Amino acid sequence: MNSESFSQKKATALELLNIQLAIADQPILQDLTFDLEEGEILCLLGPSGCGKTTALKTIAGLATPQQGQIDLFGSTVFSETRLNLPAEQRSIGFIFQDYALFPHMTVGQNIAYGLSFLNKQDKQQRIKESLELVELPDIEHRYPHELSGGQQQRVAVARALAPKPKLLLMDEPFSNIDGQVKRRMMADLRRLLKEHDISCIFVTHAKEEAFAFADKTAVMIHGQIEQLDSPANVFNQPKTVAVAEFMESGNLATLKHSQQVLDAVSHQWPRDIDNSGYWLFKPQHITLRHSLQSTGIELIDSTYIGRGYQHEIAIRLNKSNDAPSITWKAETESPIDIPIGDNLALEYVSEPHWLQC
Amino acid sequence: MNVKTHTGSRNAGLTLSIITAIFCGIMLMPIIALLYESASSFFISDSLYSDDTFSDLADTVLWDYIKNSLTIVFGSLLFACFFAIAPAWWCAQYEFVGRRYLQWMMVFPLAIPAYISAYIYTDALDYAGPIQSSLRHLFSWQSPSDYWFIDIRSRWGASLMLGLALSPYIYLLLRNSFEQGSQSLSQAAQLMGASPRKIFWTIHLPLARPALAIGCTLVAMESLADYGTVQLFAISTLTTAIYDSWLVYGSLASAAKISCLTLLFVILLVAFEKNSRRKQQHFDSRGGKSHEKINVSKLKASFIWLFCGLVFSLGFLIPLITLMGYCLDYWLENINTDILRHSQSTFLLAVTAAFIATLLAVIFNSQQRFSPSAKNQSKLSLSSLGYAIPGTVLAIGILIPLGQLDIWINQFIQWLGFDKVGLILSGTSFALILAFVIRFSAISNGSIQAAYKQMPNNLDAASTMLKASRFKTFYKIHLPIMRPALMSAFLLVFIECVKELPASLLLRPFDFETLATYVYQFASDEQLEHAASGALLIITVSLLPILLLSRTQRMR
Repeated sequence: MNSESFSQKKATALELLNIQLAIADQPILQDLTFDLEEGEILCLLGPSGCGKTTALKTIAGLATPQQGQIDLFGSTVFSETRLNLPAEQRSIGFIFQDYALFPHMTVGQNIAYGLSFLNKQDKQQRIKESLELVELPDIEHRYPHELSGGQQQRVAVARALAPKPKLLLMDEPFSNIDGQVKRRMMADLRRLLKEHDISCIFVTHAKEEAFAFADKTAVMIHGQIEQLDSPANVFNQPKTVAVAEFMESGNLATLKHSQQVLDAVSHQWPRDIDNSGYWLFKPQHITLRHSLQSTGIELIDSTYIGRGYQHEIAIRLNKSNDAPSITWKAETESPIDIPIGDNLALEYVSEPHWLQC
Repeated sequence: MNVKTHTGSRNAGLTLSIITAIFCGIMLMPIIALLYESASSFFISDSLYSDDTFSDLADTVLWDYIKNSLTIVFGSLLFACFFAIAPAWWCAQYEFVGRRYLQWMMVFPLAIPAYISAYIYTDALDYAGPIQSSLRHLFSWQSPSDYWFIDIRSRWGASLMLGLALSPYIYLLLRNSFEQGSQSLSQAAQLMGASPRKIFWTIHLPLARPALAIGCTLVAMESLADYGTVQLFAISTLTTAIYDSWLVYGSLASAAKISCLTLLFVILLVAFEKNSRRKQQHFDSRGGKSHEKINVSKLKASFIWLFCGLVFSLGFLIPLITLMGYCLDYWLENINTDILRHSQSTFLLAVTAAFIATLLAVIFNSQQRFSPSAKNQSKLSLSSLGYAIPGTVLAIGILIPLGQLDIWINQFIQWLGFDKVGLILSGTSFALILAFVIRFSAISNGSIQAAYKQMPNNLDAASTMLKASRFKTFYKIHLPIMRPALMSAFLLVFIECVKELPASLLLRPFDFETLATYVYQFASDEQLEHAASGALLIITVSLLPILLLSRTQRMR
């Protein structure tokens, strides 16, 4: 009814409100709240054990939370007090990490499994369409074990999309595929979802997959969403230390240490921010200079990493020799002419990003 | 509509829940009946229970029975280990001419029931038998006092027969365990300077110890439960005492008490077995690449063949050839309508029991699959309990409640004004089928459980996500995938039913024989020659799972 006033903004596909789930008193999901717009691709990104697969299964109806509410395209499918629509009635497509293709059925039978609402002719037509969609037109009569890993993945996609779900959930769909094939498959699948306006949530622990595939990324840590934003923002402007560390965004230091470490910054240190937060320094924006004085900053190692060189730097936190040290990373395009073990002076040639504890 | 389908599946779940709960009650019934029967005679000094068979036994021979039982268990273990450990190691570790055949030949003795070997060796080693006769002829001895000769009809003889027949259990488990031992472990030991001998004692054997322990418990349970062999050798053990208390003295109470005593030993064995299995799971997760077998010299290969060939001949070939000889010599007696009739009724009985046991296994396991809970898991374990109960003990445990039920049914029918119907539960094939189902459900359960374990849970979830109901998931996904497991569950239970002796002897209806009891009657009348074709039939049926096993393993 509000569609007039929000004509620019798309409708909400999925809404999670304060979802709580514990298994044997062990909290898995804590106060999970987020929503997904129609046609949007969201990545649940996080370390293993953070609850991202459980979150996916909760949305699908394969796991039941203790508290909260889930709305799907405007109607509530789960609410702690009133209802819990069974998974088979939620009209959600799901792609499993191991694809879960039925081994005793042909590809065609696998796809037909979710199409019992169609008559024989339409079913056949839909199987053909689905296989064309994933560009595997001639494999209807083959068995899953006769296919390569990449083909199996595409059959899983075809099977999940055949009943035309409006929401597609994927659990680590690319983890069993490597390199070149994976990159092409992600691009193909993304185009397919966008063309058909299918909303999608997928789970992964690899940030590169989030960058390449998702519109938005939610970083999950300990059963909670720490930050939900575009992949670039999550990477470049992490909100918390946990996000920055998981995304490997760069070097972190408090204001005091930052001032001590860096000789020059193209930035005015703010006076009003006391020692509470952290500053994020990107490795590629740090310049290294050879210093003949003892600066407490030492080059430990230099490694070739393809796009350039990565340098490991140990920074002593005060002047005494046995003081604790932190390790930073800096990157340069060409090799530097500084012997390992020598002292350095550092400069930062960009604006650092400030984040909360 | 949505709500309706939901309650529909819930109702079906409830029905299944009730079915499984009832069957669990039936599983427990024999044990409860035994405990009740033995306890009530302690506490109630009713005239009905003024039966002092048990106290007479306890005062006189019970201790000897226990001693005999334990000696035979111990002896069988010794012989079985002797026959099994070395061949298991050789077949797992070495490559030599004909190993592929030898490794399966070592399982064949499992097909010969111990009482049949016992009969054949008694016959052969008898005073009038071919061996002693030719020895006397050769050395011109005149009478038994002129020489010493082994007496096979002894506790050690019985142990030898049981050890031979049961050694394949240990052999199979050990060989598997040795073969799974990862190569990297022994290579790591080798690189640290350990000799092959040291590697065997410090790496392979300790890792195989749980498997050895499980094999030994199986052998111990089977030899404790044996009735045929010891009865044939006239050795009184706990099982023969149970049998005699009931059939000779007519005392159900004392049969129940001895049964409880036997169960005590069984419980100890089961506890030991459970413990070992837990350890085995621990060791089994070692992974890694499996062994490449080591080529051995001709001399060593000949020695291996000599030893294994001897075990194979003693445990399988000699009994088989002797039986065939009997068949040829007495072919007229061996081809008769009796055998045909008894085979028919045995197969019908076994098919029924196997069908029910398989069906129950599917119900119990699918229930645990669809709604996993501690309650359903304990139901599942409970339904596998029967395998540990010796046949004689189980038979008594079934007779007690069924007999009582029959009395009540007849009283009720008379009260209604009709004629007595007789022993419609305890005196018919019903009791026998019940015993088979209770005793062998563990086998069908094991088979189905393994199939479910191999089936990824994601298949169920995928089916659900494609809008399938539980029933559709079960019918379209579970059943087709576990079809081989269903077949093997059915087949294995069928075979065990055909072979089963002690419970069949106690529970068979009047004038009814199974193949096993038929053959055994002839053996105990010293006339096995006349039922050799029946024995050969049992052996043929028993060979089926071995051939099946060898085929599936080769395919893997």
